Amino acid sequence: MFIKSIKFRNVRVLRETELPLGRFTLLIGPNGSGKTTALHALASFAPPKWPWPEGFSVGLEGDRSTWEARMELQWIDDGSSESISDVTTIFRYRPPEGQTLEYQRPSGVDGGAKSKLRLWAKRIRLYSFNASRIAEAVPLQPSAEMDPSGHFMSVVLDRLRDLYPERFERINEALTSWLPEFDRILFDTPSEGQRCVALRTRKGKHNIGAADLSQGTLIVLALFALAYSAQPPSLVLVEEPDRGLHPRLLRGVKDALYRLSFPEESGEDREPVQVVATTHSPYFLDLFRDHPEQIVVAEKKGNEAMFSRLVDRDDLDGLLDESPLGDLWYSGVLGGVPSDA
Amino acid sequence: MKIGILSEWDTDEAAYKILVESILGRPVETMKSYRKRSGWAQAKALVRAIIRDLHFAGADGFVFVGDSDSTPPHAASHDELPNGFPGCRLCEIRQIVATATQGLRERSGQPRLKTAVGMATPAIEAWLLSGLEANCTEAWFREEHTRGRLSDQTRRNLKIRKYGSLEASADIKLQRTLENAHRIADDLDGLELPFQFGFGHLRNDLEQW
Repeated sequence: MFIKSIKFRNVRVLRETELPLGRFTLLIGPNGSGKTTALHALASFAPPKWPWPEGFSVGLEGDRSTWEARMELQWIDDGSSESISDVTTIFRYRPPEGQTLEYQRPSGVDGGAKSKLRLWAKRIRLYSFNASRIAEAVPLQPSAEMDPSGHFMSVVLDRLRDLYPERFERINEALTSWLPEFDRILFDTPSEGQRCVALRTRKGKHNIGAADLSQGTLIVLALFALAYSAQPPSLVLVEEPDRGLHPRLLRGVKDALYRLSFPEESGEDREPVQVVATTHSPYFLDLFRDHPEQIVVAEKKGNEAMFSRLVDRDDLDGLLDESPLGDLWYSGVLGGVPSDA
Repeated sequence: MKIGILSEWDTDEAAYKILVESILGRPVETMKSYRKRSGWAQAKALVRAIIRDLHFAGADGFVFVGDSDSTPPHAASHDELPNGFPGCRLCEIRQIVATATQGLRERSGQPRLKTAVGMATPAIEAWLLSGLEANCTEAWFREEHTRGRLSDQTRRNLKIRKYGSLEASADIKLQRTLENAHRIADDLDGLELPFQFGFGHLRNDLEQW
């Protein structure tokens, strides 16, 4: 199951547009073009108050007497047991408070399917990694999971080591490939009942505590914790997963995210995770030359932003023959760049 | 008239637009502002993509002005060579533009995309300093190139002379660029005389639009 699209009306800068989504979607566009708004909107559909969007403000603009905001999600089942096809849920917000007043339930869906939808939505997660938060020591909690900033990553990795040692070993192998100066993830116990990750150097076997690791290294570890999870979220919304990383590591970032979206391609036996990521990096975008169908361009014109699929350009094949994808985007050929227009 | 300009910075584009409007004798609308990340190789590849993009977007024209940096400045003898002079960027980009436009199909109800190509020797700052410094001429920089003295340092010195320092703020760069662009645009013959090839080709192309 995955979200096929989300339509927006009067949701901040997203006045009237549709964001098409696949198993993996990479959003590019200038600052303020609605990328984060779209991610937060999608994240708001996770319970606890399912089906009511939670913790998300659509913003109030224009004539308040007639103002209405609307988000319309289209869900689709990708062929697993219980078939749910083209289910649409619609949320309307009206003034003065902008709260949800109407919710159009999915029609033609039985109770089992609704329950399946609910369980799927329960596992939607948004991440915007913050190295300082990742590095903090955290209390050992059996059910703790990584929060949006990457906080609690140490506990998640510690639990993975205990419950899924083979997965933990795969992370260690990935670590030595990505960051060859280290050979193993270890754990410090700064005080009783607390955990904090550390890395062991290949040469000298020194332990480097989380507080002394680089920001990029900590973000790599958070990506590992996500990509190698035994029970990953259903929908991963991740803001700039490439932030703070050396350009040569970006291929690994793509692989980590693809591990979630295309588990069959990395020997994982589980349901695919839908991933929506954003980036400002032409280097990262270069890696998707063979998958233009996964790219969505956010274009900002004045106070309004719109989404469009890169593959919908008629001249795309010719353009891709001429220049790297990242250069085409940076230059402005693909749109999705800052503009005065 | 709607055109597209490829440049490295906003300030460069502002200067090119002023020159283009002066040569054409009418205002133009920058339909799309293209930026290159870096490097000549990238600029060449982008030119083909941008021509294609402007063609499909319904633009009237495309203007490219590059920097010759430390490569051989263009000379009259280059125009007699069927494939241009090896290493001359003006020769190279003119061929690329010609090939790229030839490959475009006709547009219904709209004439072919017009193109204009120039090459600042060794950089746009030299044009902007034209008339202010005696040695700011293509001939002088060509001589420097022949002696192997045209280098990145030449470019840096030009920037320092134009902006006051390499660390000048964007506001100061824009202000000085606009001042000088208007000055040289008011005397196109005065700019073409010392930069007869790099600027002369641009002017000639535009005058045929």
